[in-house]
Amino acid sequence: MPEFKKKVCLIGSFAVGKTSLIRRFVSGVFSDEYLTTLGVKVDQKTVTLEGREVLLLVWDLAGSDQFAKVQQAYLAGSSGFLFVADGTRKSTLDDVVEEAEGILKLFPVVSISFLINKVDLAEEWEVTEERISELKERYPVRLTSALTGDEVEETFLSLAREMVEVSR
Amino acid sequence: MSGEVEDPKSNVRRLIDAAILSSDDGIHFHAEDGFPDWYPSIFGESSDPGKQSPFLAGFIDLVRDSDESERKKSGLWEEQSRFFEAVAVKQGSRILLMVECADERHHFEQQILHSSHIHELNRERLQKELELKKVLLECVMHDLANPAAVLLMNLQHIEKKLESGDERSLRAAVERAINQVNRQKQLIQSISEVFGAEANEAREMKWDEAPDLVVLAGEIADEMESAAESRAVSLSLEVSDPGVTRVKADPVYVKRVLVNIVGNALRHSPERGSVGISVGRNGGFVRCRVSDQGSGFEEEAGDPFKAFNQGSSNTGSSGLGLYFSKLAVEMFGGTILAENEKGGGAAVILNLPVAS
Ligand SMILES: Nc1nc2c(ncn2[C@@H]2O[C@H](COP(=O)(O)OP(=O)(O)OP(=O)(O)O)[C@@H](O)[C@H]2O)c(=O)[nH]1
Ligand SMILES: [Mg+2]
Repeated sequence: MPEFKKKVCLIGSFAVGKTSLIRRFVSGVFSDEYLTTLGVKVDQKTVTLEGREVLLLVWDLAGSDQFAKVQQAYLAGSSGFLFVADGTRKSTLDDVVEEAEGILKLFPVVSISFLINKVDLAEEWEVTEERISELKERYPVRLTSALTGDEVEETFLSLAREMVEVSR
Repeated sequence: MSGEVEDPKSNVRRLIDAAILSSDDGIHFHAEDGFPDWYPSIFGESSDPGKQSPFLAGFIDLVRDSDESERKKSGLWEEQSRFFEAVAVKQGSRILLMVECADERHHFEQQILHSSHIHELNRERLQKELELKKVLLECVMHDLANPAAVLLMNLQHIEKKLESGDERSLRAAVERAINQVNRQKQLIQSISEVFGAEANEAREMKWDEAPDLVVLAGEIADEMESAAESRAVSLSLEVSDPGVTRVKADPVYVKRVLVNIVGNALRHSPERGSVGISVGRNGGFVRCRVSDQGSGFEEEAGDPFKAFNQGSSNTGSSGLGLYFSKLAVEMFGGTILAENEKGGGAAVILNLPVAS
């Protein structure tokens, strides 16, 4: 039995790569294909931090769009949030920052990180350095790629570490 | 006889493919009526359905904390590539929970959502592309316009200097160069009008400045009088049936259209010919007809309203004027067409919706 059990939710606009990041972290695979998530899927993975096991319950929530915001009931009991944006669509960052601010009012003491995903797509990149450093002044930010795996493992591990520290 | 008595619960289960569970303490669940086939492999056989499913566990917690008799819905979720939805009510310490297999509903809704997302991604991509093209175009125009202006200034300077000497051939060459530069400038102007009109197609229009086509045509006739005189062409304006001749269109665009059409007619006119502009009502439209006595539109040259379609006699236009006119007129819900007159000459007829 793992010593800790922690719930993590991924939040972000549609097609930013939430499902892909989870698949990369949990199964180590990536697919080009896009299949919109409808409904919720919970994946589990146990990580070991300094010899102690932490079971991560990773909630993949359907991407919010102009029609639907994430249902608050799904967020209950979360110890961590990963707010995901697509670096090739800068509006997705504005949208997720706004959504994050609303969520953080409801859950003030959780561990979070902003992920600006698809960092492998340098040519189509839209988010400026200034925007990133401005965001970094307020929140932890990582540039990730579900395709190459860049910063994916690191993101989940450091979030797990933080969540465990908070709960002690 | 017992076979004829339907147990209502098993009937419901057969209809909607659901597991119906109840709990007296809000913690231990049992199914009075047995489980559907899919249930044990996904949710296990223990009395805690949340044991195998963190999602369902979260939902049961939520129901436990909810108000009495409030019906709670879980929304769709996925377990082992299958989709479920749960509904529950709490009464005292009792909870009634229904877990429904919702593969079909998921499949249907997922397809709709997916195509709407793909649509939105495509729209975003096209918008980006359009933006890029606009920027590119602006750069090209700037690069095109600048050297032309500098060249023109220099040529004009040389021309002035040459006035003292009598190097006539040199002077003629300079004149030709000036003409060419002027044509290039005109072309640039036309390109900017065309792309401006295309980019503006989606723009919302304000109709409060509905211009009077008679007034606009009059202004154009005045403005182009000297151009007509220099070619010894007579330019006349005729108002066939006065009445409401205000049109639902942006006056700036309509004026540009008229300049293009009348300019076109003047260029194709023989010396001492005449160009006539007539304006009148045509049902729900205001019609403006511009006729000349030139050689007419050539069948072989194709649609005169297509970009860069010019007749064989290159009269120094860019080939974009009529194309722009068509784009602009159609943007306001009007029409434009060209015809040749039986006795020679050509006419362009413009219909714009009347402003009520
Ligand atoms: N190049 C590249 N493509 C990525 C990356 N992450 C995701 N994608 C692609 O982006 C598309 C969307 O990825 P998903 O993981 O389905 O996005 P999502 O956020 O789960 O989308 P919804 O379920 O609709 O909210 C897919 O075609 C992925 O292959 C990445 O890091 N790099
Ligand atoms: Mg997804």
